[in-house]
This record gives sequence, structure tokens and C-alpha cells, in this order.
Amino acid sequence: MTYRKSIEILEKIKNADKILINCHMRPDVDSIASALSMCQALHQFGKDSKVICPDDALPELNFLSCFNDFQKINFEEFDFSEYDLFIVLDSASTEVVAGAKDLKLPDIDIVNIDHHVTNTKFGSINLIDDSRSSAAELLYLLFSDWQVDVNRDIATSLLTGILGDTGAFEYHNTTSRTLQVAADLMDQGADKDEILLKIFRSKQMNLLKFWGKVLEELKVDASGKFTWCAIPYKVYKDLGEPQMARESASSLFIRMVEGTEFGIVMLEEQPSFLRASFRARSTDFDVSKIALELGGGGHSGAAGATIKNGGFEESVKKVVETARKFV
Amino acid sequence: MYYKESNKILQSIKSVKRVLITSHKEPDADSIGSVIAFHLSLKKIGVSSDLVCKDNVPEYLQFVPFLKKVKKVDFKDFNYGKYDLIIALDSSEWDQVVGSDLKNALPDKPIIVIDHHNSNKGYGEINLIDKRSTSVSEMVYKMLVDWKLDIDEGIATNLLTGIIGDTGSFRYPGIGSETFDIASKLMKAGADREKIILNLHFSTPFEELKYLAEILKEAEFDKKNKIVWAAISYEKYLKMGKPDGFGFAGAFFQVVKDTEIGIFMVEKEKGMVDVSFRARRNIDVSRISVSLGGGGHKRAAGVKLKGIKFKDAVEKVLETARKYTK
Repeated sequence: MTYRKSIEILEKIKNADKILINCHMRPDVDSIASALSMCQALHQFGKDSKVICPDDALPELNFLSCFNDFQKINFEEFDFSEYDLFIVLDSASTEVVAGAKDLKLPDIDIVNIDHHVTNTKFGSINLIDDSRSSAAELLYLLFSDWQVDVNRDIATSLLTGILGDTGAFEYHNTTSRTLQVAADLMDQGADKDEILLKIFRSKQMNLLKFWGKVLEELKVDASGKFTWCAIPYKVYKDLGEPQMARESASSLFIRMVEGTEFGIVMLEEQPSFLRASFRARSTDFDVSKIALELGGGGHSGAAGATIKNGGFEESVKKVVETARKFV
Repeated sequence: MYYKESNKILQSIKSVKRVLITSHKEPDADSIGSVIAFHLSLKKIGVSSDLVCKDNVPEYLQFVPFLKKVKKVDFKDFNYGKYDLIIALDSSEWDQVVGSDLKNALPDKPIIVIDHHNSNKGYGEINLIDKRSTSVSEMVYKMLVDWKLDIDEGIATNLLTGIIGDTGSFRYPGIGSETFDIASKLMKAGADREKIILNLHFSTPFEELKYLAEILKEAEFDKKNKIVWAAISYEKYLKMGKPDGFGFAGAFFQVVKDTEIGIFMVEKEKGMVDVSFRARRNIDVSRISVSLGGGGHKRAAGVKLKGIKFKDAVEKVLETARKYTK
């Protein structure tokens, strides 16, 4: 038994009739893959469930089982009344569940399962384990406690989540346990090569062109401690607004430079709406502090913030100057 | 028991006084990690050994524990006299150790060959060749388990460096659960994965990222033939300051949806075009490079075209490649 709370959570599931599972806003690979794996596990207990999210799913994940149970919803309009349990995954706050700060969560019993250290513990049960690389790794341990049959489909979903959140075993969060879980999932039939092909090697050509722009603009700050670049809306628009542009570029490039401690990719996703991604190069630096100061949040290795209502130059300046305070 | 040869190797090591362990020329993470781990293991069983390599160890490997044990030597006047046994790791032929000019000068000493290259025909007294192994470091791990030797932090970090280096941090196709299992055990034994990744993947000179920007700017998408490619002319290469290598650039040519082959061409001298091929999925790109006079592996191969105009070389390469994506 890994988690004391496993049984308590399972009891709630067994007593529920209709269950909702969420993906957080702007869902990433781990968010979707773990929600779908939970949906599959609930089927084994004979439970019907639906996966809801304030944003669209990533279409490249359509090979995962239960993908058709995913539904983009508006939290203000959705009829929650027929559901009696809400399993919230990989979501540090209620804001990322509903998609906006001022939206309240429905009045349903909430089980909150997460690996973010910043989780605000808004559930009636909170299973928070920040030593796990991904929600999927946590769920693997939970499923083992529940004696779920981790068949090929569930193993595939879980390994997909782990690959997503560890950057395919590259980020700081990869532990010996992560590698062990990955080995187990591969033994259960998860095809790592096929998953990697689908989630990391199925990029649009214009995303490559976007990466080229990012690298062209990339600078090392005068302090020598961080790299940064900022892409204005027009450039982004001309490239067809490639999916995951900022996230992929920040994970790929900005930590690569020798001698630096962290990096920032800024992208003006809409006019006067600048998003910044921060990535630490080693575990010695905590980028979430910078993001927090700018009103954002995240992990020590990867964090983000949004600057609204400012001119491009002005917002970029704000981010860079804030970052300089931390070097 | 992983290998039936393990005990025989152990016996022959125990029966001698002084061992020479060789890395291959132009050493990489796997050759350096495996030779140092081997040296540390022999020390544990009371056999002293020297580590030699024809070339300097690259900058990105300077972090590995006990690196200073590896000595750069000139094999032309190397004296094998004081050694009773030579152990050649990760070297498919003897010229991989000493350089092609000395390939016929096999020393008059018993050699144990431990390698994972397909092409290794076995040039030693004992040949342990495991073609399916991801890396020689993984082979050394298995042998140490066979020997029931305790794997300490220094050995573990060196072995994990080799495994991560030769598997692209477990991402290359065909890396199975056994490798993950071994890597997990090495981390538990104290291997510092974080430091390895930082040095192997996140210590790129800034200029290299700028080269990549140029390359991505040139990249073209031949949708019909499922090829993504880029070609850098000598003029452009000169303007970039003639960088030695393009390191990780190749990896960016196998990530585009609905493609099969990535091709990257650089005219490194007037009339000499260096071509590298990458397979995104199942096409065996070594067949393309072989048909152009080159060589390589199924998923990564290359050829140097000489005495040909840049434009003609590009056209010839693309034309040949298109035949394989049909």
C-alpha cells in the first residue's frame, strides 16, 4: 500500500453513481492521459464517468482509450446535478479546474489528487504527493493500491502521461521510481516508441519554423545567468499560431545553454496578452518564485505567468526586469 | 547469469597483475563511462589497471567521476610491455582503438573484447559481443551483477552516463523495460542522473543554438514525398563561422508529422557535401546512404558527396531519397 488514503477514495467511488473527472485548463499531455486512465480504471469498478475540461483536448492523444469520453464544457452552463462525485486530477487550484479565477466549482463531493507542491487542498479528500513526476505516476501507485488490472490500454495512458510530464525522462522530476514505473508499464504492453512518435514526433512544420524564430531571438542576459526571447503576436500569427508553441520551445531550448541557471520564452498569444514560460536548468534554481512575483505559478523547474493589457515591449521589459531580481 | 562469458573473463582478469583498458578513439559517453566503471570494478577485486584513449575526452564529459584516470596516449610508440592483459571496450575493430593507420599492429598480448556493435567480428581471446545491448555500459552492469560485485556511486554514475549517452536518455527506439530497470537500480545505487542530463543535454554552446536557428530557417517540407530537409551552402557555412558539428540538429528532422525521412546537408568544403539522414519511423535510411556510397544505421545514416556542385548534390540526394518514401 503506497497511500493511506487509497481505500477511503475507493470507498467514495464505489458509493457514487455518476462520476466526473477533470482535465485542467489548457490541458497538457499528463492532464489528459491521467484523466483518461482514471476513466478506464473506473470502468473496471463498473462506474460510468465523463472527463470534462474548460478547453479542448490535444488531438494527437486520440489514440488513448476513453478519448471519446472527453468533453469541453463551460463551467457556468454545464449541468452538474446528475453527478455525485468529482475526481479532480493534476490541478493545483480551483481556478485551473474551472478555467477562470471567479468561477466556483460545482457543489459536488471533490476528491483532489495531485502532484503539485502548491496544491491548495480544496477537496474533501486530498491526495497530494509532490515527489511524483506526473499525475500519471501517482495514479499508477494508486491503481496498484486499488488492485486495478493495469492492462495495455491503462498502461499506455499512464506511460503517455509520464513521458509528457518528464519530457521523455529528461526533466528534474525523473526519479529511480519513475524509471521503475515506466519499466513496469512497458512490461504491461505500453509501446514507448509508438507513444513518443505520437506525442513528440508529430509536430506541424510551422512549429519548427516557430522554433527557428525563438532561437533567432534567443539572447543571454547581461548577467549571464539566463536566456530569454520574446515573440510578438504578428510573428506568431503569420506562422499560423502553432499548438504548444511556447511550451515546446521553452522545454526544448532555453535550458540548453551552458553556464545559465534558467530561461524564459515569452509569446504574445493575443495582442496585449503575453505569456511567459520559465524553465530552470538545474535543481539549484527555483523559477516558480519569478512566476509568482508576476502573478503566475508552477513548479521549481517549470513555471509560467501571464502579463495582460500591456504593450509588447513594456510587458517583455517587466518580465525580464523581474527575472533579473532573482539572479 | 546474464553472460556465460562473465566467469571466464573474471578468471582471466584475476590471473594477471596489470591490465590495460582501452576506450575507442573520439570517445563518447558510453566508451568513457564503461572504461572508468570497469577500472573501478577491477580495483575492487584487487587488480590494478590503466585507462587509455587515443583522443581527448570531450568537454561535456569532464564531469564524470574519476575521469582523470583516463590518459591520452599515442599508440604509435605505446609500450604494451608492462601489461599482461588488454580489455577493449566498445570498439568493433582494433583500429577503433588505435586509429586506422595502426590497424594491423595488434599487440602481442591477450585481448578481451566487450562490445555491442553489429559489425564486431571478435578480435580477442575472449569476445563478449552483445549486439542487442543498448550500450557497453549496460553490458558492464550485467557482468558486475554476474560477478556479484557491489556497485558503488562512482561506478553507478559512470554506467548511467554511458546508458543515457547511447540511448538518448532512453528515447531511442527499441530501448526496452530492462534498460529502464537497470537505470532505476543505478540511480538507487547513487548515480546522479540530474548531473548527467545537465552535462549531456543542457550544456550546449550558445552559438550552436544560433546554427540551429539558421538550419530551421532553411528547412523545407516536401509534403508529397514525406521528406523534411535543409541544405546549407558553403557560402552560408562560411558565414556561420564553419562550425565543426551541428550536434543535435539531426534530431529536429525526425519530428514532423506525416513525414518519413529527414535530411540535413551541409557543404563543408567547396564541392564536398556532408549529408545526414534520419528516419522518423520504419524506413531504413542506411539503404539510401549506401546507395549514394555512404553507410550508417537503420535510423541514422550519412554520406559525404565529393566533387559535385552544391545544387547538383542536393538534387541527387533528394531524388534518391524520394525513391524510398514511395
